[in-house]
Amino acid sequence: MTKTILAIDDSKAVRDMVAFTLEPQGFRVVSAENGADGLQKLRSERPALVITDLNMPVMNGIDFISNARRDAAGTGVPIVMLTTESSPEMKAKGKAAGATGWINKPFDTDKLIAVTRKLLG
Amino acid sequence: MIEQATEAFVLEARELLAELEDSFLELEDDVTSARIDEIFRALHTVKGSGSMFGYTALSRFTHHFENAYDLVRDGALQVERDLIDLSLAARDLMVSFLDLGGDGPEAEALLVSPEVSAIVERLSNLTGTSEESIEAPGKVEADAGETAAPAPTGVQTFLIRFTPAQDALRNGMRPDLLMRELADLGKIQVSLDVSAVPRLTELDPTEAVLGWIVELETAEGREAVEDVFIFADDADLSITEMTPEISVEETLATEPPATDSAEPAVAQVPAAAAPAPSQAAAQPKPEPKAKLPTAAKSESIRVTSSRLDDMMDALGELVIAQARLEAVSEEISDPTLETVVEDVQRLVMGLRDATLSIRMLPIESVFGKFRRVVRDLSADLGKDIRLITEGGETEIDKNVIDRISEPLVHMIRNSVDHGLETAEDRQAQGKTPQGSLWLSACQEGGEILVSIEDNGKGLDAEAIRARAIERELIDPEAELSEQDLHHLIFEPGFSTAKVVSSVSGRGVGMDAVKTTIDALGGSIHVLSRAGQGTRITLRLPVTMAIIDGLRVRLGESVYVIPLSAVEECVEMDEAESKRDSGRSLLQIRDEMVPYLELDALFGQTAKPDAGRRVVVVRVDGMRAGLVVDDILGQSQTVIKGLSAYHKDIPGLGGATILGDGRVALIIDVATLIRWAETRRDQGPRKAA
Amino acid sequence: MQTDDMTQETSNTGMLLIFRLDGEAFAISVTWVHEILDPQRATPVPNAGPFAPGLINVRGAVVPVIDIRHRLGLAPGASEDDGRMIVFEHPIECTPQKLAFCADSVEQVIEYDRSSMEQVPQLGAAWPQAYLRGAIRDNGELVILLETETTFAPAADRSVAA
Repeated sequence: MTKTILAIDDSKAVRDMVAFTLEPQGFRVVSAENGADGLQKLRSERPALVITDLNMPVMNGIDFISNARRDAAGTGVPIVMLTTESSPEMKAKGKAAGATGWINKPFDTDKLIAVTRKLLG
Repeated sequence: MIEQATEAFVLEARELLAELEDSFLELEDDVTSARIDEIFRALHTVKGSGSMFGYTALSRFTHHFENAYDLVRDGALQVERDLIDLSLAARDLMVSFLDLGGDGPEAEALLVSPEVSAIVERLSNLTGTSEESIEAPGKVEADAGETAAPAPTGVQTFLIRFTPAQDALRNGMRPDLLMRELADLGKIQVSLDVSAVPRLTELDPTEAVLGWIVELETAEGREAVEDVFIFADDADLSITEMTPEISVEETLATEPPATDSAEPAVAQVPAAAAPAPSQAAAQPKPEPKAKLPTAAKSESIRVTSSRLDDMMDALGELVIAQARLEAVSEEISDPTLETVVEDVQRLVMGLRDATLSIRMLPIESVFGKFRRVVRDLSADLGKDIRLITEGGETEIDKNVIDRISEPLVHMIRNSVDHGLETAEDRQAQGKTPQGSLWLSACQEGGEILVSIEDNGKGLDAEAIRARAIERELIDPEAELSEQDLHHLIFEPGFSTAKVVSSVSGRGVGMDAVKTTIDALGGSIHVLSRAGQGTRITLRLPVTMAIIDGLRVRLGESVYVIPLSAVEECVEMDEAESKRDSGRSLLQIRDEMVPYLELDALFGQTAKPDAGRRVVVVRVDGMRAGLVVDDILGQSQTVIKGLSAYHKDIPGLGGATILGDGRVALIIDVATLIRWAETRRDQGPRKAA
Repeated sequence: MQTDDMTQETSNTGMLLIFRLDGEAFAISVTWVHEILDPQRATPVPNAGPFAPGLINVRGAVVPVIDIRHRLGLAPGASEDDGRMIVFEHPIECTPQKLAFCADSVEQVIEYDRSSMEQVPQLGAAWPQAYLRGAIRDNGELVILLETETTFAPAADRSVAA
């Protein structure tokens, strides 16, 4: 069965990049433009993996992660934070909220594929 | 594929940069934390995405900029005029980086240019960071997927003890996958630590309770092993290299819970303890796709304008094909066919309207950039000027917007430079010290009215007359109304000689403004009162790609006259025509209307047909007749631009394809009449 | 950016379309050639000057027709009804522009080796040098390669009394 990946980022360019990178790898990619949108898609699309930006309008990534972890749809789903924050606090906050892993921006497509494979097998 | 994402990035960055400019200008009036957040986020996005899409230089530059707004966000840096000036300048540089189209020698050169260095230095001074520390922001610490090349160490054996944090399974960790990754590195032997597993009745399947003990024989080195657990930094993890002498059995024997029997359980236990995400996800019954009220999410998609142009082209061809269908149907004159043709016509019209509406943009997108113009210019000139915009939501065709932007800038410059006075001058006249400039737009029928109004000193009719006489634009004896004098500012040669101001004298004059507006099929109108101000109003067509046209015949050629310019069509009554000071005039009812013989203007051999027609057009409030051989009818006309080979020919506004497949030229009435006038002035005999 | 329509970076050979004007063989690169049509009557553009006197409809696109004979200083062609119309793409100010011109006949497409290109012999060159790129031999016959960049540049000689 095709696995669904949810990409949450307020930048369409990043969402596109995730989609263009992972779709050829046999994944289905749905996107959301902020955390709130992401939560809804998490429930409706049941993704196998979520890739989320942290800094977003409406609902930021940290809030998304903690909300997702409290939701049945988000339990056990690997969530990867995309972050440019090189500050360890941001990463720690994300981890505390329940993130599975992270990818530091800028990232290339190989890294994205590698992390996806790592978390989805 | 990535190119598409890059394209999206560039579009997005441009949009963000446009918004940034507005945000900075708005900061001047009002500093809100929401706005600061927005600015920070925009900078953050450009920086973060930039280096992913091959705009590393842009990203590196933006990093410094972002730092400043990080401090602003934290309240450590105040928003002051200096910062806004600096921000605007830095934003402009970001645009320059973007314009260079990505990394390369040019971008590198820009990054180290004095301009950029100066801005970076000022930003660094604000943020108190030394330049070195931020020189290489592109560098990131080693992380997932970035498997550092292993040092060739030969085969090593590691003993790995791994106990995930209690909530790791809920948080998406998959110990089975980690084991598989380890297996990929070499030969592994796994045993489980079940000492923390509670009684079944107390077991929470989402909690991680197992421990793993792995013996791994690998040539990949310690770093590769550590990388496997990169995301498991909150787990209890130890990785020890075993010296070859110690046998595995011995080591395991010293580890308390290890049992041989646990090994086969590896495959099942984690799966049982941690339901696979897909199963967990499937448990709650699928709720109906409830429409949650998402916060003001705009249902918009982004499309490059070239795709819209392609669509317009295709639509244009459809309109042409439909015209051909109509022509064929008329010939066949079959009632059934006619009904179908009518249906098709209605559908095409609907499609046309829908397509045109896609190209409509709020004029705000162009108004926005004038705030900057007014701000910079009034600062240069030491004037205090407020710009007030109204009707920014008015929608207008993108092509029109693209083309009126320059003329508007010019008119605004004129108002700021010549119209509005300095604060002292204004006060001396009992005016408010601050001058105002209104920029407004509204729709009126099929036209958009854009006006630029200032409460400055108004046009000086006498000074205009004096200059017009000096420039030989009018006869010294000529009696002109104040209104007519005002309109002289649009005459070619009126403003070009002006050297007084370095600001508005740049390149084009108001005549260029008029030419552009004419080319768009619009018109321009001035109203000015001495001492009170000036208002210039532009009337523009809402759209310009498809017009209603009047097809006329001239010899063997067909021309199209835009219907919007046509007032009426009358018979050419040669008996009622006469010549007066080189002008041909025709009596239409009780009015004398100047007329032009198109065949002469277009160098066609005149075959004076009997029963010629006159198309009376109105341009700039003036009526003129165009003499043609015949009037063929009215139709939808798709305007195709003329190529470099023909675009400068006066009187031609474009070309179109007729129902029979032939090409017809579209007449640009305004330039045609103006050109005819100059011809008449230069050689009256030729224009006869 | 130099628009080098004869070069295909990697290979040292190119494909040429050979056509005739007054019996002489001329060639342009086939890379940009779109199609070859039967001659059609062009809509004359008033005041356009002799170089680009008309427009034709090529599948819904309005395409300027170039009078190549005029540019090369040849006498006007006998009849518009014979011959072939070559439609090709020519970049003007970086945007591709479709153009058409009429040749007496279109012969063939040949492959040629760039290194075999010669100077146009001075003696035989009745045509303005600026429009010529070089010459090659095809079965012993001299074929003149046109420099499309200059040959089809928008004319400065437009006769408009502006």
